[in-house]
Amino acid sequence: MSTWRSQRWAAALMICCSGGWLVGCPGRKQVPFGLEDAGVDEGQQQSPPEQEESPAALPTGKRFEPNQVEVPVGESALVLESGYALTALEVDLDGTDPLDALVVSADSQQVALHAAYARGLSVVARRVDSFLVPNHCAEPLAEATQLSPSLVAIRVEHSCEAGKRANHWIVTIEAQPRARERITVLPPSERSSAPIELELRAEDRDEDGYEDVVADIQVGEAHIPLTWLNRPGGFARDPSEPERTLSALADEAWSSLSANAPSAEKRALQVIEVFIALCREGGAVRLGFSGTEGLQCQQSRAAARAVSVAMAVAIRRGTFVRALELQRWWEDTALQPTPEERELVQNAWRKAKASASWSLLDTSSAPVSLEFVDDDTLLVNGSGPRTIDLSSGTKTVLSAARIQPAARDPESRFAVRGVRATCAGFEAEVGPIGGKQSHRVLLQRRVDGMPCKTPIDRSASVFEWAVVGWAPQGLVAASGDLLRVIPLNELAKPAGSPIELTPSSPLPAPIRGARATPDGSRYVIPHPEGVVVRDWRKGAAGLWLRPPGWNTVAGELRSLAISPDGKKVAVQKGNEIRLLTW
Amino acid sequence: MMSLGLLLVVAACAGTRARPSNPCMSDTECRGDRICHEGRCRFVEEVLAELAVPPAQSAPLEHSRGVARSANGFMGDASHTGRSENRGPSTTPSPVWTYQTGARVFASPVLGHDGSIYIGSLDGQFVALEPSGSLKWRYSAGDKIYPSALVVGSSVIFGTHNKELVSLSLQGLPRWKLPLQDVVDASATLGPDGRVYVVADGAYAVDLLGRLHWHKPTADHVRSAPVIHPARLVIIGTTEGTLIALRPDGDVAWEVPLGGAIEGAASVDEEGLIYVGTGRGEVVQIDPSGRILWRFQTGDEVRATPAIARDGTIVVGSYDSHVYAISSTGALRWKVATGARVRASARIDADGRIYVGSQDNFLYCIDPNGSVLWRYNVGQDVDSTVEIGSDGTLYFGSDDGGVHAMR
Repeated sequence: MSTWRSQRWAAALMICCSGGWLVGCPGRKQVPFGLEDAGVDEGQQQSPPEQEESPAALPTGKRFEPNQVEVPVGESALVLESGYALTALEVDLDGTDPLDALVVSADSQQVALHAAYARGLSVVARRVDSFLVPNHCAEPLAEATQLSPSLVAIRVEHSCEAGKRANHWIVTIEAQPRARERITVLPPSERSSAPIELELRAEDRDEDGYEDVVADIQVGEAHIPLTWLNRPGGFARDPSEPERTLSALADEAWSSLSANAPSAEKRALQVIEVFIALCREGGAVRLGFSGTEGLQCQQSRAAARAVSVAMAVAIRRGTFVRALELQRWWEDTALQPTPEERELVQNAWRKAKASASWSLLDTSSAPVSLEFVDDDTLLVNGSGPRTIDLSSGTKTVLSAARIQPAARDPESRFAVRGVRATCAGFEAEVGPIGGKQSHRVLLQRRVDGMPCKTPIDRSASVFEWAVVGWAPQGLVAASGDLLRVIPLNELAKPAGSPIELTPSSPLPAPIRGARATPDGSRYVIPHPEGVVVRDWRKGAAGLWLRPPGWNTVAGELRSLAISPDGKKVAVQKGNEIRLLTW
Repeated sequence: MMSLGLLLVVAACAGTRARPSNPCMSDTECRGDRICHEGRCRFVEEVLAELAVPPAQSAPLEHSRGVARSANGFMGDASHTGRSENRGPSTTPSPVWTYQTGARVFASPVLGHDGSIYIGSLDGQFVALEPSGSLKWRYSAGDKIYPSALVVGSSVIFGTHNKELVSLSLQGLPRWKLPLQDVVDASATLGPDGRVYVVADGAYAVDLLGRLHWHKPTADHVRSAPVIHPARLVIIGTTEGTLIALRPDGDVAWEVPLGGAIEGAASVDEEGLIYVGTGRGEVVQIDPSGRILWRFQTGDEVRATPAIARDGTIVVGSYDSHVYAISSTGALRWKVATGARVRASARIDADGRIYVGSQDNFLYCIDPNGSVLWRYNVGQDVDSTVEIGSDGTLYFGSDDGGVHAMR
């Protein structure tokens, strides 16, 4: 900080204020309504303020040595009752000599912002705002900068376990200063790792003669200007952002997709990155506003478009698991892609490189469950259970009593009877083999957390949550690219929190279930346009199976299974039971 | 406190006298001080004793200086001498098999009583492998696994970066998970009292049922596996450089600042002398009362655990790329240069041959006089400490994500 500049600025303030020229006093009277600017001439208040010529440099606050509890204010000092001073900015708050100060103090529990008024030889302080210091955060640093004659920006940064955590106060200079906004920038997380920079400045964005506040937010390579407009009654955030900037980026991605896919993907991922960091709907926001998490972006058109572009590129590249992960954005975040965007993705799936061929094994108008008994024998379990010898095509009718459920525990005491969609979410129905009793094991809690208006209890569809298999550790459940272990005890009851698995991790093994190989290296993911075979060694790539004539077989995918060697997949599509090989 | 010996006697008795036990689903359904274990109401002592004994073991096991041999873990036993009763290859071995995991393998493979190999990987998976290298079972921990396993009786126990200590049956079924207050970087050790000691944000004492007996927090994270001292002390080193000896009740017996971060575990010889490496590049000998007897200076950090040969020679690698042999009086006996930092701890076979990996991608075999008998290029850093099988097979992990077997 330049002390000389600070003093010169302070002197200018003192001169103009002490001369009774309150209207033009740069420390006062910048907002037409709403600010508590006692003692201001009513007549003057209604006329537009005169534009003052800004000084070359605005003052910045003074930093203190560690553990300092006395802050000089005017000719006296503020003695902090608790904690120690981080920074103080000399400023005229009440329009009287000498200068007052905005002081930031901290202790192990919280950081507080005070207005300190010089009253002759004493100092009177008032707490303006405070926030709690999260666990595992320490070593706060603060800096205060005057943005304009009426605004101050204060940045407080903590070193936390996961990285730096910053809080930015926007404070108005007035007799009773107020923290108009506090923006929190959280350290990187697993789902949002882009670096975030934030800078505050004052600018008359709407050209109404009053200074607004602009937060220039840099998320990775994307720049988003969030604006708080200075309006009667206070500051109002301009709701057109971040959607305006994101739309521009998403449209750019869309238009460059055919000519330059890598560039289109880069733009699309930038949009998604910003959406995650800024918007509540993204589920992993890293910016907070006055104690609330993120902004409400609702059904962002830009995000929906960006997801469609990123998904199309992922499918074209052959990273099918990644594409499924992106598809979840459409489903989980209530984004509403346009028919044009849906068509883009659907076409990408249809044109994706798939080398599988298929053959008809059997027909069944009723839904069946499929399971490979061994690499050459398929069990069709429905109203007329049978096995099919895959080399000869011979069918052998079985009695229901001879059939053991595919997903059963290592000791064959319990089995999964099905997955139900209920008011709780998705639940596996588990019971003893041969017994009638059963209990439910929650696979996925109801997403929105809202109570059911009417009870739900239906079979989950093949595209919803399913039990891939049962390993010694417990159930392995999947939905699209999501994969998790539900630990169970010896009585098949939940034992501990679910463990999320990444596409690069193998399944627990040995695993018993129709949709996974026993060694847990491969499992199948159903998709309306085909089947993805996931191999953990290939990470996000996977294998896309969509034999020619997929759409000529009427009806949706209803059941699927993978052979123990992971080289064959059986599906029931509509009424046909078919074998896919590649 | 019940000693393991007593527990084993109880187990032996329990094996001969069938005790009626009621089916149960939780402890509340069991009368008196019995607990619900694997669906039956059982006495705690009976279950603890059963857990301490390997399957199909009917007689109490031998004890070696108060340390049960029913346990196998990092560096072989609870003293971390690194000695093995098996003989490794004296000539260049050939690869037998490799089991591929999804990320670096930092832990040391640990052998079970039936020859199964237990090891975790930074991909968050813990696997049990058959001696043939095929997968027996796999457990998903949900986060990185740095420590080696502790195989004790019919349980395999390890810590994870998910801030928990996990106990599985030898069939891979979860027995219990104990949440800790920090990530676990070091292997657990079985004490003579039948308790498992593990470190994270301090030391924890846990019994084989997963019940926490005490937690002694330290100022800094602990990455050195606890070593059990014959004077019934549990010794740990902190990342700020203090070696701490704890009594069985968790009280501090003594602590000694060593001046450099302690990243590797200490080891203890037959005389009760303690050896530990520091971030200042020293190997330090400390007597059972916590007095420093000598310091031996290497050229860089020492993060490996000093192995102790049968003649008392200390063998340890340093980040200065050398493997050192130091006499019990603190004098250099010999040193062998490798091409990069040595993070792995050395193992010593029944003939005194030393097996140690280096970050130059080689696995070394060195004779007791400091001559390199052979070295084998694994292709990636070998930070994992070698385990020696009864048939002489060497097992180790590598940065290539492989668990390797060579014979």
